[in-house]
Amino acid sequence: MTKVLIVDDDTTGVETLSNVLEIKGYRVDAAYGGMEALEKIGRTNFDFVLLDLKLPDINGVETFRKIKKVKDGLKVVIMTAYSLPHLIQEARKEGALAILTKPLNIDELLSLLK
Amino acid sequence: MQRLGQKGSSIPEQEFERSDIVPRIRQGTKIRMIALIIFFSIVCFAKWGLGLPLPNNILVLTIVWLVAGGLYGFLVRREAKVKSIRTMYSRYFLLEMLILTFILYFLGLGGWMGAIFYIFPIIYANTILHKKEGRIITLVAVLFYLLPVFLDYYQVVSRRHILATFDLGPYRDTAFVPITNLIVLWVFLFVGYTSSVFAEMVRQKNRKLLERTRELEEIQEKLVQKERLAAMGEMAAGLAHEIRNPLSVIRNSIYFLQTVLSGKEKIKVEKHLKIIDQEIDETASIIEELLNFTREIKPELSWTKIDDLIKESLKSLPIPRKIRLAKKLGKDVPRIRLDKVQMRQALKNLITNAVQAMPQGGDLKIGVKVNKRHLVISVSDTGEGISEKNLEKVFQPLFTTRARGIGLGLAITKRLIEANQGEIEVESREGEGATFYLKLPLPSEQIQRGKSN
Repeated sequence: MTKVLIVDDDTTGVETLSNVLEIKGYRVDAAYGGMEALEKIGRTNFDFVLLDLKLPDINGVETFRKIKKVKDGLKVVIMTAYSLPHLIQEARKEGALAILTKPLNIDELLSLLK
Repeated sequence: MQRLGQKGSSIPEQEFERSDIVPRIRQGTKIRMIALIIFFSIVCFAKWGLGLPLPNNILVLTIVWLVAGGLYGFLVRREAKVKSIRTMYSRYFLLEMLILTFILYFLGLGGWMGAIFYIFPIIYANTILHKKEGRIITLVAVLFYLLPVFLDYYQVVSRRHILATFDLGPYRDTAFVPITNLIVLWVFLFVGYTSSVFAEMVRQKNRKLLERTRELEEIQEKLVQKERLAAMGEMAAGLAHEIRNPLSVIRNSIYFLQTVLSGKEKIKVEKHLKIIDQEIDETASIIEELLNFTREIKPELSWTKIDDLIKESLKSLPIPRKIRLAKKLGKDVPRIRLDKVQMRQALKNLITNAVQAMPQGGDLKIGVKVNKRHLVISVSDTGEGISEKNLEKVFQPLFTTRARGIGLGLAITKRLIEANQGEIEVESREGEGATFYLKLPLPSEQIQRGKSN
């Protein structure tokens, strides 16, 4: 079973997205901050990480860099409601699998998570 | 047909035609001219008819007259901001000055001073009016001055009869007379020339100052606009974040419901869920538009074939069957330097607008023409058109007549075109469709502008 970690501080967002992914047959875990996400990634082997750019402790790009140090090659999809082109640019440079703008197109997301 | 440039036009010509200042000046001048002729006739009659000695007060009276005319002129110049009216008054006043001077001189009033008075119209014409007029007046003054001299020389009338007070005494028949005449002529020409040069100098300085002021104003306007956009951008970014997140949550929920839905009411519920989903799309696109609008536009120029650009723009847009598309691409259209992505976006916006203006169908025409300085792309529709009142607002941000939409499409288009050194204009009449023109500078112009910037 494909394991996905959702990293977002918006709890309702995490909950609804988890429900969607679960019903589509994914195993979902959630983290509400960058450090928490790193901790979980260290413990469990995830196939995908859905990472929001705006997080309460360290921002998405920082988290992404640290994830690469812990587990290089882990597929990371960036989600963003932000319109900060420079941050998006950075995330792209770091090698994100995809950068999706909120509201997410779920069909697109699901096709990425295959 | 209403036409609106991207720059505000100057005061329309009809503006002063309507005002009553022109007939007032004409009337006033007519009365003064008639008074002048009557005055001249009376004085002539008194001098030659009755043989009365002329009092020197007449000289004072004339000067008062001229000063009054000058003051009136000053008031006219202040009231009439339109240049042609000022010029008109100046010409009338000049004519008056010339006639009065001639009368003075011819009557011999003030003696030498009578002739010297010609200097005033000469200075006036050379400084206030055009250079050409200044020269003509100088010439006329010279001729007017020489007239009695020649009359005397050919013994038609003795100058002593005309110029009662013109008496050189013992120098009368010596070489002094031609020399004084030459000196007077020289003074006329010298004064004419120097005042003209001086006026030109002042004018040039003023022109430079005006240019500089205009430049500064333009820069200031750009800065203000930039600042406003930056502030708007900050707000838009915050707003986007706050709105996109809940939208995302709603969409997740919809997806979940759609997936788990079953039972009797399934179709109806599905329909409503779809509507909610579409509305999310709509809201998201508004946010996208707002963000795009506030983003700084930095063109990446490359040589572009306009025909290809139009084809590409059309390819990605679905044109409904009800709309007939006619393309009229000119021959020998040169390539120009512009940002392809931005221009494509601008064209797409205009085409989308045209299509949306014709919900019942119609003709969509896209044309390319080349004139001396510009390559002009026109996009026209046969929709409802734009009312005169709205015509000047169409490029303003947040203006829209549609039920949906934030009203940034044309504002963005304008910014995109201007970032690519172009201009956008619209021509429309209510009920007769609208045509948008994109004027892009040709390569030679682009180079020149580059230099002047």
